[in-house]
Amino acid sequence: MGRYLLRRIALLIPTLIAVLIFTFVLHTYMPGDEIMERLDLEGKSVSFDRAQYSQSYLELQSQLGLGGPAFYFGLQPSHQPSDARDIIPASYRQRLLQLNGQVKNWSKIMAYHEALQSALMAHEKDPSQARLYRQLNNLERINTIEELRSLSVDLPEEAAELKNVIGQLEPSNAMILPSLRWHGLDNRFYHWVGRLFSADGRVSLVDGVPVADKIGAALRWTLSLSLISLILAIVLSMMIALWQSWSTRSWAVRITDGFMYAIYALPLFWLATLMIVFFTTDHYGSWTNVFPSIGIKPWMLGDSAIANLGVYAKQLILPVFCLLLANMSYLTRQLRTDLKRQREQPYVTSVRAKGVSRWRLIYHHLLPNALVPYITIVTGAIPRALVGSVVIEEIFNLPGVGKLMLQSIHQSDWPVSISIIILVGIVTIFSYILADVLYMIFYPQIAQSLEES
Amino acid sequence: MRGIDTIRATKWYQWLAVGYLVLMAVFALFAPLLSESFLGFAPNELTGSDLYYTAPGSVEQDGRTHLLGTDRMGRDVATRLIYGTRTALFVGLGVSVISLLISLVLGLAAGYYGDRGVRMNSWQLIWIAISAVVSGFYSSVFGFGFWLIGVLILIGSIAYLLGRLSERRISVPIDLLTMKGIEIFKTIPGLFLILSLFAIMRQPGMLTVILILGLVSWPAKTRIVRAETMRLVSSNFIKSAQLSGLSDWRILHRHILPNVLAPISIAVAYTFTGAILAESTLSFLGIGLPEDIPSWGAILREARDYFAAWWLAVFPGLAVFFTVLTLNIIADWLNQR
Repeated sequence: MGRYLLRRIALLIPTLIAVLIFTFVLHTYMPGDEIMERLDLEGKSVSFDRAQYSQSYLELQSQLGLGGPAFYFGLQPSHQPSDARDIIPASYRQRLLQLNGQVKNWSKIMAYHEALQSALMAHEKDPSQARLYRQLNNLERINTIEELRSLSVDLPEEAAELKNVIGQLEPSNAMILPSLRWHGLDNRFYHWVGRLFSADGRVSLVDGVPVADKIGAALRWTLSLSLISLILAIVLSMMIALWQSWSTRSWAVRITDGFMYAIYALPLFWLATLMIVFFTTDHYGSWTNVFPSIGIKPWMLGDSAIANLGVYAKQLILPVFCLLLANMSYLTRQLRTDLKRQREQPYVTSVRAKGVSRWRLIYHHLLPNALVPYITIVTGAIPRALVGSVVIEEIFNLPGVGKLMLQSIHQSDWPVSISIIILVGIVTIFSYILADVLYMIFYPQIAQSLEES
Repeated sequence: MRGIDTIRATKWYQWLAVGYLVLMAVFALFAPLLSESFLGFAPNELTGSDLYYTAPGSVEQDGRTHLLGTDRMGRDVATRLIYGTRTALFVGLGVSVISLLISLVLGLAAGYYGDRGVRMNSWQLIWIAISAVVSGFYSSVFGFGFWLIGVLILIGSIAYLLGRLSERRISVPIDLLTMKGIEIFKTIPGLFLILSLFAIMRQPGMLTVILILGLVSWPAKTRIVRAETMRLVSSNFIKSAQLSGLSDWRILHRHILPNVLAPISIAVAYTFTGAILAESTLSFLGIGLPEDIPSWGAILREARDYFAAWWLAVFPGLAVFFTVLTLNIIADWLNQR
């Protein structure tokens, strides 16, 4: 068993690396500029002072390990520079690289870049040149030669040198050749992984709060919501499924079956919407206003802890109920099918022939065997418990992980959303191992077949 | 006689499910006709300003009736529900087709060839590795295009010719690679993956939604196709087909594919349902389809802004519920047969 587990864990390392790379690629394609947004949070905006802004941008960039090449090695067109991190901000760097895609001569592009920047520096403080400054600023947003040329026509005498440099930029039809480059450890992926596992490596781009604190606070809600509903669902589903296989009233069993089937098809977001629309307001008569309106009230310092807990419990009733119904219908159907399948096994006949009572047959023989798939279901529910239900948390306005994820994606707060994805990914990987361990402990015969495979 | 037996064995709710599905298809096909001739509204038509959130049955000045009321912007809910049927079925079909194609290609390859079935000599391996890197490089520079297909065919045929150079071969573990890919893919929670893909695609249209949902839902079906193919490969009739010298391609598409389609059709039915549910959930969360495409989830979202408008909460939800219920019944029916 130990050797099997060791092999299993060793095999997970490539999976983990692949997940990290996959998430990194996802992160690279997300819109927005992390450095710019963090500088905004610190109160330094672009219009503040050009030289000073560039300096703080470069400092933060090297501190965060951004700006360098993406990976340890790369295959790039030979006319592109291997490292252009001195050109900031990142969006401007991207446009220059696109221009170079047409010109295919990086030294010409650099000449243009230097001429543009020195012109910008020269005219920044001069109010009489405000129009020229605006024109130059516009040039920073251009990524094709054609546009650049048509804009440079309007430039006044003061920018003659820049005009000259732009005139020298010509599209080239040279062959694009790949060149393989080794970038070493100073690359974005390396620093990204490093920041991922450091305590204060990531802060939210919305309010500057460390990501770990944000996720921790959200986890409290999500875990209480999903664990309460999951445990209730497991208990209830066992009771219902056992009653179903115990009962002799076939019509009652059929009705429960149909009910579970219908609930299974009930979309969670519809159920929750119906609940808040009909049971939290006075619109449909005061008697329907049973539950408190949605959202979490802050913890009242004056009140006693019990009173506060009562308020929170009330807030959780509806979301727990919705999740409970969804989980329960699934679990009951699953357990019922497995119990039925066990009933058809030949050993049931011999057990019955021995004169064992029906109760004993169900509890001592059918149930333990039917619980095998439960291990998969329960361990599979662990990562889902962490994620919570995005829909439920969104509708009932609970500040859990799902809601945090949705919010961070809406606000382009990538440090938060990427951290959540990786956290859940790691927990998922470990829940697979946990499932294997549980199988080995409870069902040695399965363990044996696992070890042989 | 078998047909009559089938009809007798069909239960009342299965008949109902089939009827509902036919009705849905009619709604989806004739949405413009139905909404114009019976209801008289266009799906995005903004009616009179005093008709925001009007209850079912309220009448316009020109005599048209809002059968199921109007929404926040005065659009007719019944019309949007009918057009929503079209959206739902279109998304369901598109997603099923895309994920079915992916899972068939991967599952058949992994199940048929396993870890030892594909064997190449070192010339072929080197050629394929180099050309994969180079064509990957040029497609990242010039963008993906149809020319890539031609390049792939060229690479493939040269690789085939290189196979004659040497007989010392190394096996390519296709099965292992596919299963590893599934494992990695399953590690990232589906909804989160969908959300981040949508974030990258800033302005997703209908096709983007279908593509993303389709790309996310292939692993489970790939597993089924792979397992089923493996079972068939070890069966005697495939073995005898192999012994009689039939080509791999012929065995795969004439003997294995038809036998795999039956078990996979159930999984496709569940994918269809899952896609409709996922699309309406996403629209409900305000992500996904653009505002001007009517979707059940988008109508339901408006119920959260104004609790007194019960018709916005009830009708689109009923549509989703009955659709999912119907498709579940049909999938289970397929499963039993």
